[in-house]
Amino acid sequence: MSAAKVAVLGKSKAADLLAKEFSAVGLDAGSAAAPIGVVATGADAATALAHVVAKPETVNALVLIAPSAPDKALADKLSGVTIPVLALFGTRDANAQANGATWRKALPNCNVTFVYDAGADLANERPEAVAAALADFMRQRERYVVTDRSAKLYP
Amino acid sequence: MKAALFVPVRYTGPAPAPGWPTSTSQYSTELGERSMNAALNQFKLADEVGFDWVTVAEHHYSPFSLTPNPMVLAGALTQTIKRAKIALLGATIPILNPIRVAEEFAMLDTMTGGRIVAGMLRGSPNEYATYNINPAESRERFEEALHLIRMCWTETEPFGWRGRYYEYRTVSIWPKPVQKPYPQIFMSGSSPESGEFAAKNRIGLGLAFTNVPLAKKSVEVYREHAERAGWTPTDKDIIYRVLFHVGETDDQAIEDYSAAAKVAPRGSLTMANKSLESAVDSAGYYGRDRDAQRERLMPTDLKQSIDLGRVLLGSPDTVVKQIEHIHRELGAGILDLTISNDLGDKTLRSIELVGSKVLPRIKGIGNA
Repeated sequence: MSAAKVAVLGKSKAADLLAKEFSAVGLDAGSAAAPIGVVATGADAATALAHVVAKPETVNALVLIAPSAPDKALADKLSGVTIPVLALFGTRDANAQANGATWRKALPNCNVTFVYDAGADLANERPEAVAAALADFMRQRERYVVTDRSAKLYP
Repeated sequence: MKAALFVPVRYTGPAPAPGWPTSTSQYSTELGERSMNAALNQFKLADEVGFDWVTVAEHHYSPFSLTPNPMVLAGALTQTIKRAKIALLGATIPILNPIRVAEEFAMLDTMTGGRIVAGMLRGSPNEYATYNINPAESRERFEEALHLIRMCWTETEPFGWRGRYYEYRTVSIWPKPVQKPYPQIFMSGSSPESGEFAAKNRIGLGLAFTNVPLAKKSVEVYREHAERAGWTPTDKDIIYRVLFHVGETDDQAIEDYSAAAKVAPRGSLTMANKSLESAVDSAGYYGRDRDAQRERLMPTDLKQSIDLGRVLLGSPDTVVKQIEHIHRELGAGILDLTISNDLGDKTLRSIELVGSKVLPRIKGIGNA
């Protein structure tokens, strides 16, 4: 069930790391038969969400990195977006907790994760942590709350 | 000024030669139980005679302290301490699961109706060997764990955390602290790095395993960085921990205290293990003010200890004068009065004397 194909809007160090695990495709590459994952940062979140609103069956997981607040026209349409969403915020962003609350309210299936010691540019400031969060969510979607990484020290 | 009673819960029986960790080959379960019960009685008495706080702390692998998990002892105290605040000074957060720490503090705050003081420490250097945590990472772990704990207390919806040292996919702790937004936080601020961090983050300053001249420097660093961060610490923000024993007269107090110190080697912590101490030193644990930070962990003899303000010893009159000196030098508003060796009835009498003859006379000092 892994989302092997991921469309990434915008460049970042985290996106570069993600490209090693998933094949990068365009936003329109998904279909009902083979939906894709989408990652969007900042203002690109609006583009990604507009796409999901228009073609919900083509995307099965969405990650928003420090997304800008949705405008009213878009916000009104988001209550119908039921695909799993992961929204990431940096803890050095003073509005992180408030923004998390806004997005949880706007999207019915929104999970919020805080990336420690990063600001709004978290995808470049802590690329490994952001890429790991992205990869887990793309691979596991809502099941990401249960880790599938081994913590065994020695075999 | 306010006063806390800190009982480290020393093991009251004979222990093998000092060293850390300490062998339990001579450990007696009966004496362990007796030590614990004596501590519970001392805490209860402190609450009855007017101490403002009672304090518990975390130390491992040594007869120096039988409270590797102070949360457990604090849980018992919630049922016997009716009036005083219960201070955890503290949880050694870099070696623990921060979510668990947040949960336990919130439980205790709920069980006391909001009478918990949340000390969060890096701990004495030896504690890093306890759970196999690299002391070189202590400060970074501390800062991340503290941030995460505060988020556990304030965030009202489930959230995930991707840190440098901690990763949690979904967190939503129950119960929440009674005190809003959360209990007052103190951290150890003896080193300049810690003092600066505490000031920038508006966290109370705890000074322990130190002496008045060194503590004075720590307080200066704290005040200076607080001013830069736009706030002014008051007496309420500074705790000074000091050993104490009060007797009817100076001579009696000194005699009892000295006799107990001679017959009861209680083991010590970092400085009892030279290779461990050398390893934590190499790991950079002490920071940029290394020499002073090591010095404050070194043992001193009784006369030096009194002169340096490491121990309050004497009649109520003498001890009040010593406390006035500490307040003049440090501006500390909370004294964490520490029982060094359990002297049985003499310790209970010492607690009573503080309650009846010292606390009423220090209440009016400063603004704590």
